[in-house]
Amino acid sequence: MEKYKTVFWAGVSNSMEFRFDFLMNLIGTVFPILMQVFIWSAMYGDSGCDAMYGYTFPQMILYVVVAGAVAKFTDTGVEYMVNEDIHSGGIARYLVRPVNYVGFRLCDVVGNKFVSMISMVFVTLGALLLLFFAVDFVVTPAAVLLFLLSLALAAVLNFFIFFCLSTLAFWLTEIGNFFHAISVVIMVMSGGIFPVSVFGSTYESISRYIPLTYTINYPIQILSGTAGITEAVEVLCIQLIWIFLLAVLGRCSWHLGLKKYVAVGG
Amino acid sequence: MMRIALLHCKMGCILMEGIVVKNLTRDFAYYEKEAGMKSSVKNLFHRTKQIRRALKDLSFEIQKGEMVGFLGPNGAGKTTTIKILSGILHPTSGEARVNGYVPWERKKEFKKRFAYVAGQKSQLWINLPAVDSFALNKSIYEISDAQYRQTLGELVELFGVQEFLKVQVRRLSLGERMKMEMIAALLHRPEVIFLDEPTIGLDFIAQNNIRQFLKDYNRQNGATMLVTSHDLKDIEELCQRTMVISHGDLVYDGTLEHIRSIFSKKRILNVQWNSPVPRADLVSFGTIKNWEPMKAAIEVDDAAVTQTIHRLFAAFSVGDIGIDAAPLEESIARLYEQGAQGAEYGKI
Repeated sequence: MEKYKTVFWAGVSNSMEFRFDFLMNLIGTVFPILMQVFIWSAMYGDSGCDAMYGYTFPQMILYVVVAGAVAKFTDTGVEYMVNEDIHSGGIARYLVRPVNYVGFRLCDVVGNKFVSMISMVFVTLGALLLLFFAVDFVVTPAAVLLFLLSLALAAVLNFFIFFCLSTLAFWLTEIGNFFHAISVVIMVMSGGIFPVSVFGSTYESISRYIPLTYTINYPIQILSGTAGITEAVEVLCIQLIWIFLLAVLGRCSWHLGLKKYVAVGG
Repeated sequence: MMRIALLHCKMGCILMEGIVVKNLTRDFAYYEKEAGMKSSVKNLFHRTKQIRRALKDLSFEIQKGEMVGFLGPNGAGKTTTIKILSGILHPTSGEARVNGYVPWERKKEFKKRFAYVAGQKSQLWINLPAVDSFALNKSIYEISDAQYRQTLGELVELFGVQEFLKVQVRRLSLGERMKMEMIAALLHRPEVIFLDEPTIGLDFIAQNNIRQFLKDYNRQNGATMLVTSHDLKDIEELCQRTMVISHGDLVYDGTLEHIRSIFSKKRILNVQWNSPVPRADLVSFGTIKNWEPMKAAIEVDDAAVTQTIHRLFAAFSVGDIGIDAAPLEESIARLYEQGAQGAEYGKI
């Protein structure tokens, strides 16, 4: 375990070397969210309804603000690292050392994202406070606590989703654009831009059975109180189950890919 | 031609220490495409798979504590061999044991006993000081605090890099970085070390440092080392034994010096004249390798050296004369070419 702890802290120190990049990242998060806030206020203003897609205006604003932050929080970028390792031959570094690659990458990624994750939590809390005054919105302490818990699980879950995808790099040489495309699709399907109810009830019911919504949509429902305590606990359990399943899948496809890699030579 | 160190390990005798390679073969598949757009379209639907044999039935044995040089032209199969021996690639067929382990099973115990250093690939975290990477290796290899402190102290002193330990790796010069690379690779005191072009791109002071360091490490720890390099000096200074591989075949196994004596029955006479001598006047003495009015380099047969010198003294006013061996590179190049001409030459 010691080795993974060291990897984690090395990741943290590594990320702190790039303060400017981090700041830009933060600013890059705020703009799309602001745009959304304007769009939704216009839509609610024009329609004159109290609720759209099951969300009142304050709830919707809370959703888009938090979704932007959560999407950033859970985005690990692991697929690019794995792709790079596979195609540049960097993978050899890990093969010759007594270290588990998946564990190494998880600790490395979480370590590298740690500081920005912590800052994201503060940004979100700040936004909530602002919303509290601006649109008359209340969250309970229990909801915040459960939300933070589900947020941590969401990050791990997202890591494994993208890790599984990234192992495709063993079979496909040019995969960078695929990652770009698929991450947008995943972001939308996870509820990273709108609540999934916007896409209609069919997708909403399907979305309960796929892991994607458990990375963004459900954690936010916990925070906003759309999901109660029992439902929240259920979400946490389902997150754990998905993490387990995808970890197993990721491991299998990693070993399968590796077999091909050592047999064929990349 | 002389028969040199043909391999003799029978299947049964697997050394627990050192390296044994038996009939190692490795094929790579690739796809061919003719030039032009038409064949690009054709390739979308049907691709012709080709097989290239990178290693052909390679066999050799390296004793514990030996430092062996591995020479060969680009694409000869050096890196493939090293990758197989460190478990990064599977062979298509054949056997290999490194300290008794089958490398491609990648057992944890095995990984803790060897190191793979490639001059062109870094294992350090580029944005952090080297000490951070060392600490990471300490925990990866589960090195005890006491051993870590001792080994690191020794290695840092051996290289004299104390002052650079806390500098970001990307701010280090290539030479300093390579030293850090070596330290990172040797922290767990590997018993077997594979070095793939360890001195590539370094200035000669840094090259000397690395070589001296490897020699010291070998002496102190009795580590087995296999070194590939295009720099003959690396091999000359480090290795008592050299294997030459060409087109996946082992074409030579013996001392580097012996290669010269097999191929080169030639000597170079470096002559300085007291007064200018025209080039045309020298043609009858041997092959002129270099000519300036006041000096010349003439290649002659080994047996004709004395006679030629006498003739030169008789014909011209000679200021100074020196006898050199033909450059080793030429002999090695001939060895590579012979390997390329295929099996009919057999082993040398």
